[in-house]
Amino acid sequence: MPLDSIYAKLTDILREVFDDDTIVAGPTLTAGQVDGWDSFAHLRVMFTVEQTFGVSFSAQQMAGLKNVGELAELIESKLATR
Amino acid sequence: MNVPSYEFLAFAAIAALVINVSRSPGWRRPVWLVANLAFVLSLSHDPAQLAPFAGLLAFGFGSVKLMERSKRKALFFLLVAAIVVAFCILKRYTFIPHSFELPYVYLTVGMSYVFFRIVHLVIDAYQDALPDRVDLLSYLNFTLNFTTLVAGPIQLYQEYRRTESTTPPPLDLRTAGEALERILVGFFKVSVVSPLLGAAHERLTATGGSLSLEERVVTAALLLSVYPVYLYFNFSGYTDFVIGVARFLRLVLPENFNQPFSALGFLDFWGRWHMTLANWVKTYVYSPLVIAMMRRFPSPRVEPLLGVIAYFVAFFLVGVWHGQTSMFVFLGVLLGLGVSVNKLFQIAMIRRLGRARYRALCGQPLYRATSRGLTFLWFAFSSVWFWSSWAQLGHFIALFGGAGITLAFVLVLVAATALLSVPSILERWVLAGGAVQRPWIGSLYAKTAWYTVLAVLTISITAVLNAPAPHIVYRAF
Repeated sequence: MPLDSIYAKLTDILREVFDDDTIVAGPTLTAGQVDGWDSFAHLRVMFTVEQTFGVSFSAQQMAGLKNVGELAELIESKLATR
Repeated sequence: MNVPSYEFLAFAAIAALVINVSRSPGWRRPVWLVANLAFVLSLSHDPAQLAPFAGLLAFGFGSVKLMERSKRKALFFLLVAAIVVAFCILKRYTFIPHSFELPYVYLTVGMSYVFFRIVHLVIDAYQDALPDRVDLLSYLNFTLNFTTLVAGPIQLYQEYRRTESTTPPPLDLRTAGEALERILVGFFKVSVVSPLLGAAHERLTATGGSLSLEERVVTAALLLSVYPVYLYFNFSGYTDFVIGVARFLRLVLPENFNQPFSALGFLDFWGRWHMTLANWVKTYVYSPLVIAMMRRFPSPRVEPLLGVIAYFVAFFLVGVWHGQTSMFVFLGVLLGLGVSVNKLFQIAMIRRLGRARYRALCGQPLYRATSRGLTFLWFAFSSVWFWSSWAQLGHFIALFGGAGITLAFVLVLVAATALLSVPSILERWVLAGGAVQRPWIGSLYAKTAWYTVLAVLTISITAVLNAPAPHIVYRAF
């Protein structure tokens, strides 16, 4: 799946989880820039990503992401090796 | 060998000199192993005393190697369960039948921290999250790292592995200077401030006789509030010390404290206090538990409740981990309640006010000050189950009475609310230009003078007192 499509799906996920239609998933977007993105909301995002893309993440991968760009690249690599 | 001590400093200095002879991992890794094993042998020479520890390490290594090859879920759960049970038996948790215990004294120093590292390695090996296959040398150096063996901080293997590369973290003059500052500050906290606070707390616990209401309130308030401050200086001092020492060995250890008493809630507090433990628990207990429950109950309506439950379970386990008796089960309940009630409150406030108004409320100075006070009060209250016994608790209740205890709680809340606001007021003053108009505050001269005073004070006081190496509370875990 191309990165553009992954970002489009991530935008939908983030808008749904945070109930905010202004969010646009981009490579530099971080949790600190989104109101309400705490550790629990992070898990809601990751769970929804797992459901949407049909991938799963290790505990370290969930904890170690620094921005949406890293998440998108991780999804891309998981989809490529499936 | 105690950490921190002059003896440990000398040992670390020799290790640093030898390790830094070459950047080659072929030199550094075996030298590092010799230093780690020498440190363990300084804790005990008796093979029988070392055997249980060695057994846990061997079982951990075998488990990691098995998980690298096999991804069978049942085997994974079996191995993790076996490591947890072995740890509980070796640490003599009271819920383990006595017939399972080993009938002699053996080395347990650092066992908890080795346990965290082993479980992390087994889980990451199973989930293919390790950077490469773990060889025996890296495994032993990681699990027995002498700078973190006694009481952490809990470093992750991925971070540790970077230091084994051909380009380890640099050690220039500036880094060495900063590392020396950390060592000095840590030594001062542990050797000077912490014993004073510890002695004050011990005197308070010995309080008895007939007291007036005012005396009861003040004594109970001090009894509540001195211990958390003592624990902070004791543990953060130890952490400062080992982080500084490790830099000379080209190791970058994770931070464990970030101004915990400025936390605006119990959830925030655990992002600032014993951070590596909290992060470990969030990564390997809280997150998998939340995800598992979300899979089991996939309804957006119950999701927030799942978070609350998982927070309770995770921090209940943190409390239980701290000790082997029923006091620590109660400590776990209080820590679990602290984070879960905090989360419930956040959810309720966001539902009631909406995110924007709740955020605005959280920015109010009075709200922030009260939040800091409440957080401190809850931590101080929970800590009672950390340092006392049921018999002592009964004594304090009889001594202070209901009115004395209630008023003491109010006093601690008011005092903490006021006093813990001072740093943020000072910070605003600095940002507003107060320090800029007085450039000497942050100058090299002021820093040199400050650290010289610290060094002279630490060396003089430890020499005059001729006291044994300072007691590190978390060494017991």
